Amino acid sequence: MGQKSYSIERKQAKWGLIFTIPCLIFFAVFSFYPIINALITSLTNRRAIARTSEFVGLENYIYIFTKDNGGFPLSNSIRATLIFTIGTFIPMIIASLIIATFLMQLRKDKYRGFFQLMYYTPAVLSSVVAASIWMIIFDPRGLMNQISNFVMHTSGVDYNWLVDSTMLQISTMMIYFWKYIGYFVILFITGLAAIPNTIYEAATVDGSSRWHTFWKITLPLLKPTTAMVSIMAMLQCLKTFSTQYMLHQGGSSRFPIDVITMNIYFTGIRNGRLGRASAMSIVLFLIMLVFTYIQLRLTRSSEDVEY
Amino acid sequence: MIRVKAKAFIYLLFILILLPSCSGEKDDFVTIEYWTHEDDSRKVLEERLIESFEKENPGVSVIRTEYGSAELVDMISASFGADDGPDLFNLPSEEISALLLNDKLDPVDAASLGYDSIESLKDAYIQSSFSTVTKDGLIYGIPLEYTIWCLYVNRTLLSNHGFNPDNPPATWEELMEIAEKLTIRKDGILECRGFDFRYPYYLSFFVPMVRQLGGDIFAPDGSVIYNDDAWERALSFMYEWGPSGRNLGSPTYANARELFNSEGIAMCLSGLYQESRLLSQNPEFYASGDWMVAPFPVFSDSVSDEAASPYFHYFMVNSASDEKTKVEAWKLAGYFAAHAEEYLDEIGLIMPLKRITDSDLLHSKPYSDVFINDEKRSHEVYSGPHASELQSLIGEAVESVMLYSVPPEKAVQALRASAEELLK
Repeated sequence: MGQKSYSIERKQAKWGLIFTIPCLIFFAVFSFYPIINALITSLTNRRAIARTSEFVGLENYIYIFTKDNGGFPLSNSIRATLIFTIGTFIPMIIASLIIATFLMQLRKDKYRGFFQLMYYTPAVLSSVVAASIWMIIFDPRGLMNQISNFVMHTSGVDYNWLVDSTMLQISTMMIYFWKYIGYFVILFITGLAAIPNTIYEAATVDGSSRWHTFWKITLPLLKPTTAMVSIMAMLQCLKTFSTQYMLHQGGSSRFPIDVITMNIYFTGIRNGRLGRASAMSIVLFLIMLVFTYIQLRLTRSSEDVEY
Repeated sequence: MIRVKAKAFIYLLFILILLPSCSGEKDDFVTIEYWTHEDDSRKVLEERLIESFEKENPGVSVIRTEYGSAELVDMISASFGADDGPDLFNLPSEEISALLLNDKLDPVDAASLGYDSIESLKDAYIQSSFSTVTKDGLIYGIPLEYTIWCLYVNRTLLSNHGFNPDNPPATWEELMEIAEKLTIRKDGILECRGFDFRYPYYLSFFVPMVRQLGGDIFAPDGSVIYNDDAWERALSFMYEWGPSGRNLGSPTYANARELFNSEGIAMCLSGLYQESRLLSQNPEFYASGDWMVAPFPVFSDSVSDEAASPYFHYFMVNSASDEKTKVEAWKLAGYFAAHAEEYLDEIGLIMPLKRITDSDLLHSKPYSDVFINDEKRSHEVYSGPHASELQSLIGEAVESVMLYSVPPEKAVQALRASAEELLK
């Protein structure tokens, strides 16, 4: 009997392995290999078009941390990336949680479905389309100036959404927020749907108010989802590229929104300095690793949640 | 049973993988990958030419792929970096040096282009046609177009605001004054501009403005960013022009060249090809004669009479393509050049062949004399090493002044430091 169950387990494990192999190969080819390759390239002075490469040790790392990088230093990119990440992912987590909770309160499924679709639609738009839409909105004659003038009780003020360095950074945050909030709302809805109704019924029987139920039941039980969503959102924000790139292509200045990925792109593709660009990607990788570790530590107790 | 199915699946996979290579294609069949920048009018013409080229050369097929101008530069750089570039492509003067210096280009094949020798090829084109693509005595490209920008003026909009349309602005100061009066603001927000520059092509219009004031990219001793005073003055003008100054224009506003055709702006900078685009997009305005072309303005106290910098776009062939493909790619480039008259007639592009520049067709184009005269007072756009990066750095200096009020002297210092670092 014992031998039979052992053999079934082995059989299941074998099939498990077979089904996992494509993913492992995919990860190895498209994630692990590029990371190792970037690490090796970062220690060389490899040039894109020339395709020459010589080992230079840590020279690229010293360069990106101490030099101007042709007017676009890495320090500015780290600043731009951190400001963007903090300014985007925290409001996005809070707003997506609120919207998801609101949608779960809707009694009719068709309304919920409609709103889910509404919130998710921007996520499927290409970045080019999204940026084009927002460039019209941010135009001096566009909707954003009209709303701003209405809210601020001003008349005819151009808030320079795509011009002023601070406003430009806010603009990128708004575009990103609009584009991706639907995605995180869906993730939160999935998490909320997994909380058994019986817990809410018991809370209602015990006389708990909706507000109290949210803080004492929903939020603690949603911790694993919140942890996952916040890590995903943060990583996605740290990797942001297309929004900034499209606005820069539209004429906005590069410096205020020169996030690390954009600097990697210009250094590697436009200027052909693959060694330097690879060193920047390794720095970005380490930043992401450190932030993920910190966040995992902070949300460690989330593993304790049981329904 | 499972084993049999697994075996059958593997065999099937094997067959599917092998199938394309056994498709019966002849070994001597050549496919040319041709990458070019977007241009709707040129697309129509070139697709027609490619069709007839394929008919005349049954063993050749051409895949024409279009990218946006900036995207094409990035795609070329990335693809050559991966040793997988297109067979035939075109790029503007300032984007060529890296490919040329790193031996990524195939030397021109005069015979495939239909010439007896390189000398006869050179002789067919105007002087300076090949300076950008010449290395160690060899030529690596033939021009697709030669363009210089002049000032397009909407005469009606000028006269509506009390200006004499027969006296378009000749100086930047006059242009600013006219643009200021033509600019319409509604409740303080810019509704319509009088003129705006062609961002981000700073080597073509901004460097000539610096030259007018006595400056240049390189000093006679080879140092970079020559004559601070000239650069600062040109940057001060751009500051005045931008949103932090009089707010007459900005790189973030809609493209002036496109607005001109819909009569949404009074003046813009463009090449001769603008006329063909105007004709196709707004034939009534074109036929009305309510537009004109004037010389590139100068500063009132210019030390040098300098027009906009003309630039070329070159057809080039990938040195890594196989020999047969290279020959056919040069043949195709030659075929395009053989139809230079159609390029000029249908889309307003000047291939700098002597038979074109001397032709009645060119001289019959409205205001072609303005472009020809401006060309005589111009210096070709800088196309040496790091031209593209230098253009980005100059752009960053101009935009830092225009968009976030960096003082011109600081912008010049930052530009010099970055340029020196780049050229080290």
